[in-house]
Amino acid sequence: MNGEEITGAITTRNLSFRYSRAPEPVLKGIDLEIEPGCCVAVWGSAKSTLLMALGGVIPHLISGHMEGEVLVEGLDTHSTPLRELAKRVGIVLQDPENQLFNLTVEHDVVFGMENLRVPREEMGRRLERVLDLVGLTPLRHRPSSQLSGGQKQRASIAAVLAVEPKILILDEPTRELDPLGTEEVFRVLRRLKEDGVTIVLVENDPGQIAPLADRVLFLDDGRVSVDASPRQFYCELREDTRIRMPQVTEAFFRAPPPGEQDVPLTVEEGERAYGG
Amino acid sequence: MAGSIYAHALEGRTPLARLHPVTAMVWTAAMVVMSFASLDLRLGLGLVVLQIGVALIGRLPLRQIFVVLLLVLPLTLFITVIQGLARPGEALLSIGGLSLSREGVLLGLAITVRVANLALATTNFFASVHPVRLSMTLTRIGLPFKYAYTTVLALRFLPLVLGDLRNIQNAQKARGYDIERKNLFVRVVKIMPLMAPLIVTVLRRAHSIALAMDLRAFGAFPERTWWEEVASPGRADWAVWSLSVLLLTGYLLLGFTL
Amino acid sequence: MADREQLVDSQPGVVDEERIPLSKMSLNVLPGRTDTIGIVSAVMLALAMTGLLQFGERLDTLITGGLFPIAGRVIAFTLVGLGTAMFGAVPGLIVAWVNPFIATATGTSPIAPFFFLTNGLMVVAALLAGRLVRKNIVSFKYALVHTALCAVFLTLAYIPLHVLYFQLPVSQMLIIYAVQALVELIATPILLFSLLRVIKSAGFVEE
Repeated sequence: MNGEEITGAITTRNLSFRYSRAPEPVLKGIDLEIEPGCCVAVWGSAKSTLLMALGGVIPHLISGHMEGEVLVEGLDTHSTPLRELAKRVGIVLQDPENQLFNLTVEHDVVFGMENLRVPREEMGRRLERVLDLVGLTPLRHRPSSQLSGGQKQRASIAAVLAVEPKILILDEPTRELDPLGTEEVFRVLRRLKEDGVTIVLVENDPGQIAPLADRVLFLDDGRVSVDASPRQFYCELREDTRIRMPQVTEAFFRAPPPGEQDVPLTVEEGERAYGG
Repeated sequence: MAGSIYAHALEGRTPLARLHPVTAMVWTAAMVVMSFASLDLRLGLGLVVLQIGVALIGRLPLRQIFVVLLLVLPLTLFITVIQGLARPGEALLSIGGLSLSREGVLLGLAITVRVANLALATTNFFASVHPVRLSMTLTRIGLPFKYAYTTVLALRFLPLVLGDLRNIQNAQKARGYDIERKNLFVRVVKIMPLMAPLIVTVLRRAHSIALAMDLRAFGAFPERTWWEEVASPGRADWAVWSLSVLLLTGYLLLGFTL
Repeated sequence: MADREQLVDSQPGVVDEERIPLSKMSLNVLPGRTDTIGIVSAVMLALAMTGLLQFGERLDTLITGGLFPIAGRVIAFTLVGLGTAMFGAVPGLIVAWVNPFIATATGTSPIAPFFFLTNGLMVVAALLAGRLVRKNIVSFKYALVHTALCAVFLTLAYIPLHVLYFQLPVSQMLIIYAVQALVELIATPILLFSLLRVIKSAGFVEE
């Protein structure tokens, strides 16, 4: 791969991981190629662990036995210091409260840039850009504690994006949020996808995942058992009770409309399938 | 909580914010030393007036400041009573079989004023110096950033931890355990059902926060750049420095001669 | 490098059960665990202390106007002893000093600046207690020795405060000091030891 191709790409080769005290590895021999600009959703067991490995949290911040390799934009996560990985991968976690540790939104957004020694003029430019992207410009000077859950997660996304990573990893970012907050976050993710950011996420709301993701992975017993587009994914796994699918998709499988119709993922597609 | 004095500094509307944080530190240090230096009631009251004047000039939240002073009251009442009982002299007041001497009461008042000056000095400081600029200044004078930053972390997460404690308290109340209603001394030991869950909760939170901080390259490099700006000391700063030294010297001299 | 363990995917996507190794007092006590986890945990413990002190404060203000804080000291001894035992000297100091900082910055306690000294002494007590106890921090012995040292150091430290600053008569103070020490020596070791055991069974201790 040449330089341009690997920006925003993650590759794993035979990735296995076992926690220090656990007898069994939770990830077994995973091979993945995530292309730049792709949006990948992950379901199944040990999905958080996979995300942490993709982002370099494993092995830097979580101990255990890791085999195989993870290449983030061509860099091996084992040998590359975390601060180099932080410039390339941004990670957003589930709890909105514990990811904002400064006194105002603005300070949280610049925090990463300050740590990475970004010059001040550049900070100002990026600050405005990311606040605009997540729609928080009017709340710039607001204390983080006064934001709603959705606003907090958007602020975290802004803070993570400020260092301009090409890859964004999100581990159940809307778990603590209400439907409004969830919609706010996904609106931002859709916009990011348009901008060509690579997105890897774990998310429980199938209605939001289906229109956003290019690929959906299913992790079963530490291996990737399914890696397909959302439509194919739900088709293949429609009998599996562990899978939650969009309501309209579920309805489609239960009571398929007459004729050859594409599996609908959204309400609009459902209307077309049933309405004609 | 008496109120978030530092929140006022956060808004940055006080003219005192133009001063360099070190200037504020020097001034406050002078005030604190002065509060220790003398027990002369006149000097002490003069200092109180000066500090209230500073608060007025700086448009600091006087009402909150007075609340802080009120917190001092139980302490000083107690001291005044003790002094009144302990010091010999003509009786000012007699209650029951005990009499409070005039000397004792005056001494108690002088100590009250001393404590009030300490409280005013620190409150004025935190109401005017922005916490982030404070941590920047601490870093610049040699404290490693990761330690200076604990001030910001603490202020940011205090409301959350207090909320956690309230939740635990409510959860325990629902189980029939209510610390508010227990005998005073037993309360101290019976604090366990609150303490243990709180500590565990708080340590878990710490892990979560630390992970997020590491992911944003906290401590990645020994130096960092800053978004906040602290202007170099200007004429106002030098003026305040000089004034601090003059006042301190004058106060100490007066204290010795009076 | 930080040493976290075990993100457990017990339910889909649930990340919990983190473990904080207890730094054994026989190694790396000075400066202690100064990575991000050590520092942030210490701050959080200090905030927990702030919250718990609210309960103690009402008690103390009622009895002595806040001048002779008994409940406050019990809580402080306990939490500083815990923080220093878990993470070492520097985090112990963070636990000790963040509290007076907060009290002053929020205007809660006007005599808070004194506590920088007194709380700092508690860290020294904890470190010495750890030295004497050597291997087993999670022990009643550690809790007791720590408390005894705290009581001694603080009583000595408070004498100049009471005599010079507050001009109080020393002879009368001795009775009060004795009462304080008695309550502290009974309550603190119980609390501290129980907490150490809870922390251990919650999985925060390195074997």
